[in-house]
Amino acid sequence: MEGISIHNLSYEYEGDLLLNNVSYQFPVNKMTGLLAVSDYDLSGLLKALGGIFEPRTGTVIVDGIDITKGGLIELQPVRKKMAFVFENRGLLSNLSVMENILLPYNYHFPSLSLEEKKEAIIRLCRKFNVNERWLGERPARISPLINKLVLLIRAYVTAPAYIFYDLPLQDLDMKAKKIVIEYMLELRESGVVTQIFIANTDILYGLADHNVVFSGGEIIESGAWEDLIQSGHPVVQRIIKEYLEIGIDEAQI
Amino acid sequence: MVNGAASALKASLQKLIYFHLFLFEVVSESYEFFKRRAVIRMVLVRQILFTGFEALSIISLIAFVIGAIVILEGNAIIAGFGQSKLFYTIFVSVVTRELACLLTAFIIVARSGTAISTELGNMVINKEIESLLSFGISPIGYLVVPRVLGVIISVNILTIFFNSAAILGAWLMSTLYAPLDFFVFVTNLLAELTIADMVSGFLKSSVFGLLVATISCFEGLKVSMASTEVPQRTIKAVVRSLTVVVLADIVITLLFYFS
Repeated sequence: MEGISIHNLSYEYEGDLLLNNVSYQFPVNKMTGLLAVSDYDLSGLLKALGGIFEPRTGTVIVDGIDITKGGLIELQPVRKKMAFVFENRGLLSNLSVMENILLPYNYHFPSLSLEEKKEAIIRLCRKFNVNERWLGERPARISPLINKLVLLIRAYVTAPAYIFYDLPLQDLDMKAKKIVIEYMLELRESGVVTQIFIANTDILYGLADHNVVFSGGEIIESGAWEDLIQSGHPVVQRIIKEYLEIGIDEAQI
Repeated sequence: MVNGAASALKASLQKLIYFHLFLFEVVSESYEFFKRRAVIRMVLVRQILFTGFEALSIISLIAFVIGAIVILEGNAIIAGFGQSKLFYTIFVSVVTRELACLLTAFIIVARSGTAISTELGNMVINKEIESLLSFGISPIGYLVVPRVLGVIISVNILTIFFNSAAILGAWLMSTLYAPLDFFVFVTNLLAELTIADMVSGFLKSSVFGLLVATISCFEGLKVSMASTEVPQRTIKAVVRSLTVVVLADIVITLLFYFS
C-alpha cells in the first residue's frame, strides 16, 4: 500500500505530548504542510514521521512497512525511498560536501558508477546555482545558504519517493527560495513524490495541496490553505494570523 | 540513605545493561560489515591510519625505552643480566606478555579513545547522527563498527611493533655492557616464547582494542544536548577504558598462566 500513514501515534518531547493517539493518512504524491502554534515541536514531529525519532507508541507506515519496528538494515528497501532536509547543519563534518552528498547515494545505490552519481550531483548543483568549487570543501567552510542547498541536493539526488522538509526555505536568499519552490512544484507535478514540510511563512502552505493543523496533541483541522483561512476554529485562526504576519516579504517571490 | 543506595545501584546496573546491549549491537553489526559497502570500509581504513599508523612513532619510542630500562634495572641487580638466560625469561614474562599489550592499550586510550569519544559527541550535537538515521544508515554500523574493528586491528599491529622496538632497545642497551650478536639475542628470546604467550598476547590486544573502542563510542554517543558534555563523556571514556583494560588483563592472564 503506497503512501505514509500514522496509526495511533503518540509522540512526546521533553515531557510534552505533541501527538496523542493520532491516526492519519497523508495524501499520496502531494505536497502536505504541517502547522501548529509557534512553540510546538513540529520539527520533532516531522522527524518522528521520517523515522529519525521514535514515537512513544503507535506506528508510522510507509509503503505498507512499519518503519518504527525492525532494524535499519531490514528497513533499507523502504528507507532508500525516503529523504530528509534538515533545518540547518545535518552534514557530516569530517567529509567534504561531495562526500556528504555521495554518502546516501553510495549506501543505497552501490551498483551505480561514480561518474553517473557525480553527473547527477553536478546537474543539481547547476540547477540550484551551487558553485562546484564548494563540493571539495568541508561543511565548516560553507555558508548557511550553501549548506541548505547542499542538504536539498543530497535529498533530491537519490530521487526519493518521500521527502520531509524541515523549514526548506530557511537561510536562503530570495533567488534561491524561488528556485527551491519551483523545484518542489515540479516534483509535485511529476506525480511520483510525496512531500511533507514545515515552514515558517505562509507561501509554501499556500502552494501545498493539503495542510494539517496540530494542537493539543491532535489534528484539529486539515485542508487547502484557503479552507484553513475560512476556518472558524480559533486556534487555526491564530496560527494562520501568525504565518500571514511573517509572510509579507515572501509574497514578492 | 538506603533508598539512595538502592537507586544508585539500580542506575549502575542499568548503565551496565545498556553497555552490554550496545556491545551486542556492535558485534552483530560487525557481522554485517563484511557484506557491506565500500563507503563503510573507507571509515575503517581511516581509523587504522589514525590509530595504528600515526601512533607508530610514539609506540616505538616508549617500547624502545622500556626495553632499555629492563636491561638497566636488571643489571643493577645482577651483573651480566643482559647476557643471561634469566633476561629472556623476564623479558617475555614482563614485556611481551604484559607491558606490550597494556601500554599499547593505554596509549590507544589516550590518543584514539579520546578522539573517538570527542568526535562522536560532537556529531551528536551537530545532528550528524540524525542525518545518518534520516538516510536509514545505522550509526552503529557506519560509525562504531569500523572504529572498533580499526582499533582492534591497530592494537594488534602496534603490540607487535612494541615488542620489536622493546627488543631493539634491550639489545642496544645490552651491547653497552657487553657485545652481543643481534640474531643470537633474538633467537634466544624467541626460544623463550611459547604458543600460549602469542595466543594470550593476541587475545589481550584484541580484547583491549574492543573494550577501548566500544567504551569510547558508547560514551561519545551518550552526549545529548550541550557541547560541555563532550569533555565530560571523554573523561569517563578514558577512566572506564583504563579500568576495564586492567581488569581484562588480569582475567586473561589468570586464564593462561594460573596453575
